[in-house]
Amino acid sequence: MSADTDAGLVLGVNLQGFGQRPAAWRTQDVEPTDLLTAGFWEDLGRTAERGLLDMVFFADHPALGDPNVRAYGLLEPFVALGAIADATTHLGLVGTASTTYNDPVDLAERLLSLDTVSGGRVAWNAVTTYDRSVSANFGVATNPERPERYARAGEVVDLVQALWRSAATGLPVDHHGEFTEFAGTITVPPSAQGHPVVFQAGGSPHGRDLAARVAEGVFAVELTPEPAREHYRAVKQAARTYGRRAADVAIVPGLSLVLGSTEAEAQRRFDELEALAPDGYSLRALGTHLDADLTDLDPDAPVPAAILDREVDPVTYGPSLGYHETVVRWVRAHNTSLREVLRGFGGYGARIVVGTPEQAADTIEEWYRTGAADGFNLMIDEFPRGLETVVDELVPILQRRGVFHREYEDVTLRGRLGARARGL
Amino acid sequence: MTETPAPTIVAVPDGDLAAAVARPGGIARLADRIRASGAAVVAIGTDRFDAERGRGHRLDPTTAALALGRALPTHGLLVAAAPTREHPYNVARRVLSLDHVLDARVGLVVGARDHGLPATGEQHDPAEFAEVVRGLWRTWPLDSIVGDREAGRFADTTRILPLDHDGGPDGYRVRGPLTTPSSRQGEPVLAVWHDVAHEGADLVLGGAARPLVPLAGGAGASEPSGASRTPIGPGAHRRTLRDLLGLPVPAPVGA
Repeated sequence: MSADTDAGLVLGVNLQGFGQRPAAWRTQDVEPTDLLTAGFWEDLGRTAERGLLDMVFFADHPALGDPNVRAYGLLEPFVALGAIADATTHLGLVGTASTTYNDPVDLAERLLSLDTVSGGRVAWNAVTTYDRSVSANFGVATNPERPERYARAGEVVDLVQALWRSAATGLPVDHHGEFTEFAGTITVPPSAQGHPVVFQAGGSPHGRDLAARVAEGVFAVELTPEPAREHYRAVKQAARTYGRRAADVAIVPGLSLVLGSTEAEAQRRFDELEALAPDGYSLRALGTHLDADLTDLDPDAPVPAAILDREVDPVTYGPSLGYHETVVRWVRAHNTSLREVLRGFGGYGARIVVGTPEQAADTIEEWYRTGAADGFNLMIDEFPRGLETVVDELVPILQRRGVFHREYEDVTLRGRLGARARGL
Repeated sequence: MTETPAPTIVAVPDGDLAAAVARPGGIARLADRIRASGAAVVAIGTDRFDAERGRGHRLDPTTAALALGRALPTHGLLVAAAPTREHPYNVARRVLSLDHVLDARVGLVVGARDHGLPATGEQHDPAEFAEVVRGLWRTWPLDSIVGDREAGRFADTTRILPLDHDGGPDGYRVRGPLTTPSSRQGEPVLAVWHDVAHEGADLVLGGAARPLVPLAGGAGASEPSGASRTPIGPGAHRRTLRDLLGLPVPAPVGA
């Protein structure tokens, strides 16, 4: 493979409780309440930094799901990131916050505060929040429909970024929008990277448009390389129509990993973790992305065409359109039986590699070199064990192949993303 | 039982916090000043409750408390919030999360308004805000987490209850439960600023009720000592904010 000339792969790790596998707390020697301690997250942060990973990422869901199905998100993301910030020096800190259920001025102050305290390492993953359980915690009967959510999201991101700029210049913002009004400024000292980086996570046309306009990174949802390449090109092209460079927005899909020293060992671990997962977990995950109840379907028959052919209304359809599109396309290509579909659905919507670190590196390198991704947000089976495997075994392979850096080029996250992002 | 004098609560000026994060070593120097003050508990962000003081440079109080709380591993920390722009679900989560990360040394001070920011069009009752926050803190008891690996039972979910707060047409409607279980001190201390009337609060702060002592010594007074950065080990005396303030642990919910 080539020399270390294009080692621009972006790698993050999605910190999902004890790991992406719902049974990860049952297969490791961990205490459930470890998730509430600073030490658990600090150790993961230090391990990620030892592996020169660019960033750690927290999703966010401001409503409690059933902890017996999946226990994660017990701590508010930016509090956990604050603990990690104090234990690390270079690691990027990406937290999710809803544009629908946060006040933009408060959000701008909070994110800029952590960015300044951490020395310029914070990114905001702006999401619009579609989950029905969340709205009831904020006093509204239902989530707004997608066009309104994204119209508000666009306005909120614009206002937050304007407030960050005004914090540096001292010039007040005078914002009179459709959803928010604000005249004034925030007075948080600017950070080493100016202000936080913005990521966007939606895969709908509205989401991609928002990403192309305002985001420096996209957490994409992709299962196979060809659609990933189409979406990659589409977002970069759209960024240009907004007068930005294609390199200004990094495309970072999720990648689920279950690694073993042999493929057979990895498969055994995957099977063990799936067997210990709550009954019907992957079936429900598939059903969520298809917005259909699959529980009474015959596992040996294909997923019915009626479910896959259904036209979804992008205005009223609640769940993620990005996941829906990706998953439908993938089910069509693998639809010999529901059982077979589920067997390949172990990433619960993301691409999965069950295999050796070499095999994971093959997928990463192929996607990276063929313009399907600028990097990956790794969804690791178990924490802390799986992250150590990634850092000690996968990262060195990617470095030898010349796709991943051998030292942090810049302390700030913006500096690193900017230095390494690519065009078409 | 002997009366022990109430511990001094020192108020850290917003400007000092903002100045501290702008320079390397600034947080450590600020921590030294707080140690030198002799106070066991610090209040962060309370300048915003004062129309005169609440307009300068500042940091988000929870972020500042996290940084300062790690540099001061045995101090208690009270963080300010007001219903001016924030929602109680977000505040409840953030402050209870902070209480976990800082090992049960955290409290919340609710003031009537944040003078540092223009209000939104909506007016909210700070007492209701405080009541909702505390109600949410009580929705998921920590000891319901059983961690039965064999049975695959993470928590006894029958003990996790919604809040179902309905404050009427002008109030908050918050279903709950919170995403975060209660903490080692039960729940964060709930204080109210003296301009808020809320009978259920643990403490009333500010004004004549319980004046806060301003932190002495200007910024940049001394070099950081580097002391007290050692994390508290399991054998150390881990005093909670409730211990420091002589407050009882709230009665367990659903026990």
